[in-house]
Amino acid sequence: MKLLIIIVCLLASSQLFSSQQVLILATTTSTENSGLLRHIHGDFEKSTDIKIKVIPKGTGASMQLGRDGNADILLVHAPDQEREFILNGYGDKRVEVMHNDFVIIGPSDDPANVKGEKFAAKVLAKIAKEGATFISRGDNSGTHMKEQKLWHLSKMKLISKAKEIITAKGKKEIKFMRPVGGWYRSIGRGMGATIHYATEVQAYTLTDRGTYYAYHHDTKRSKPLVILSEGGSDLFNQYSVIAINPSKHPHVQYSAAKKYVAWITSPRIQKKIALYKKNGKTLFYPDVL
Amino acid sequence: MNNTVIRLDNISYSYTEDYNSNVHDLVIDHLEIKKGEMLAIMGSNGAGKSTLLEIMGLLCSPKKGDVYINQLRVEANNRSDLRRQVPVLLQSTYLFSTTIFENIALGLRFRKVPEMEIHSRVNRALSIVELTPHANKQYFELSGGEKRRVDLARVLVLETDILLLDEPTTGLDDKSRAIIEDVITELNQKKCHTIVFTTHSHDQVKTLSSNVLRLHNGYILNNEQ
Amino acid sequence: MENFNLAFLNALHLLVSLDSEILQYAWRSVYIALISTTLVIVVTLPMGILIAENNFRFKRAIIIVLNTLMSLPTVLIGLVVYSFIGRMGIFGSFKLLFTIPGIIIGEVILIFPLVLSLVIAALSRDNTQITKTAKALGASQLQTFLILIKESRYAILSSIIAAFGRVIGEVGIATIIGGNAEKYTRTLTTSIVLNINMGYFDYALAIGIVLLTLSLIVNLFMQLLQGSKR
Repeated sequence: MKLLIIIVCLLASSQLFSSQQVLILATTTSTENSGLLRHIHGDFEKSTDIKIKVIPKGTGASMQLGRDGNADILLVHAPDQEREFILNGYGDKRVEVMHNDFVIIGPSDDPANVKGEKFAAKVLAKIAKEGATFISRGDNSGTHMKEQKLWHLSKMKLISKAKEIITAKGKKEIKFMRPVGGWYRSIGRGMGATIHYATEVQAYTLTDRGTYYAYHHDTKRSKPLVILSEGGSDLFNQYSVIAINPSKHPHVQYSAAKKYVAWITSPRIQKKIALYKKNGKTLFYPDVL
Repeated sequence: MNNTVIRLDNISYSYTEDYNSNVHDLVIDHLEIKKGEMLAIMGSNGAGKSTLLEIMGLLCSPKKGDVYINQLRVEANNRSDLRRQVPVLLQSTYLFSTTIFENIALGLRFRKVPEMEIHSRVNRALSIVELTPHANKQYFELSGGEKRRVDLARVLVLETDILLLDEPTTGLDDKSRAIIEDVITELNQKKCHTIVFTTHSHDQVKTLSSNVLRLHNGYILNNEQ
Repeated sequence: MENFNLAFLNALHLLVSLDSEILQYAWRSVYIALISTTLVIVVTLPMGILIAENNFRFKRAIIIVLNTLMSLPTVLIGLVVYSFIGRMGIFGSFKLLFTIPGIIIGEVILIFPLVLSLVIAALSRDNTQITKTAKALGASQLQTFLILIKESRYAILSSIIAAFGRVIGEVGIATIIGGNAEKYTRTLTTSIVLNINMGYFDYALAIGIVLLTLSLIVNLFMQLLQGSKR
């Protein structure tokens, strides 16, 4: 019995002693799930002796972490929101790191007849007019933000589901824009779960290419969804890093964050990103090379 | 030389915080128990016998008044120590969930008595209450009377000069009662131990040749010699 | 998901091959549960004794409060603790967010009402009798405390097992406070949720089976402990 107590005490104290510098990187779930970061971060940790703690949240949540000073650096993919973030003084500057694209997937029989349509905004318009089922992530992620932007461009009638919250700086509005109609379902889930749901009900959805490629499909249950629209300029998916502004949050590890920015935009790492493949497919294209 | 071992002055105990009791307050002006005395406290149920015993055993505190054990006044800082001089055999026996041997040894372990000595004293106590073959049995394996004898052994093993016993033989089989009464008599007459016990039985008073103190509704009626 | 068989096979494979990722997550889950349970037991035992031996009315009020606290959703607890230990919070400078100790704080708050009410129940049964008998035999305050615990040990051990199980299967607090950072705060439960969100349901199930197996082992061990105290 006494031995047990001693063991427990030793275990407990083990957590208290570690003076290693740790950089907190908040990023999107799709980035983390792609495995890219796991692939390249070892290099950073070895060359700088700084450990990286990756917190995978949605883009929206990551930005909130940045605003609260709970992260040192962000890697996200929502350019409009990023610019606003920087404008409000929370971030240092946007540094574009890599890109890939979104695709619109749907059932192979394509009830809304969108196949071949180049612009995603037009695709969504067709889906809306046809009233074909569309699944939205509805979770304030980068993908969801892109989706809302596309709806905006589609010129369809949109309503906003808004909530007013009171923050330290006065009232703030959280707004989700969505089209009208029961064919549009907002499920509040991650990308993989969303693809799964859409496959089950044979509906359209917006996804990043990487997650779609990585998705395991269970052919016994339902027919897989196929890519129906790709390559449009409005489906471009830009990833950037933003170091948190030390004047807003003096405690953030600004110099470590700058090191990260320099490292991830270095030719060597950019090449690594380009060469990263999953299931034989390239997921990200470097911006700096 | 003053040979008072227990003295109570101006004791007043209130039951109002005790939900289960319908007894009147206990009030004792003055009570002295001398060394080597055998005292029986009698009275109807609810007269305050157990409470009086527990006050003497320092198990509950009177609202006002003083208690003296071996001529030392009981205060907050010496209470625990003095309590060890006045062990109590409570009205209902609670045996701890272990062997008979360990139950009896418990009080000695509290007093940090060395292991070898514990062994010999417990065995001695076991033989006094005639329970030696049961030493390694578990607490639940004995009869009511046997459990009571274990309880008595627990108190005997402490080898104090004073013993306080609350209805030591009430409801027991004849054999157990006889054994216990013999032990009590021997302790008092051969070893001059002070014994205070509560009882309902006049026969027992006669058997043990004790003085009697009668309680009624929380007051001492008279002190018969 | 007719693939229960597949999930079981996967789980078996994970266990047998001692998959290093799973091992890491498992270790964290057990560590958090162990430390949280220990901390709470250490505090609730003396508290429970004080409460159990006191006024009946007072005790009833406390139990009502505790029972109410047990309905708190874990994510709410997680959120409240997050706001305290996040940078903007009062304890922000301790850097507890996204760490194991941070998770432990949340879990301790979670199981505290549960364990305290169980401990009070465990101690209430023969409490007065035990205390009185021990004191009559000359026990000091500390000795009385220890013997009270010893006499109630089975019920107390049940409380410990309940607390451990609650923590090891918990996900809301672990996610919000821990942040699910792969090499730092990802546990078995948070990785189950992660895999569900990614759509890897079979793998999530397999991890769940690993968690159950772990729990089984711990419970067997606890049972042996109980048994040996005959």
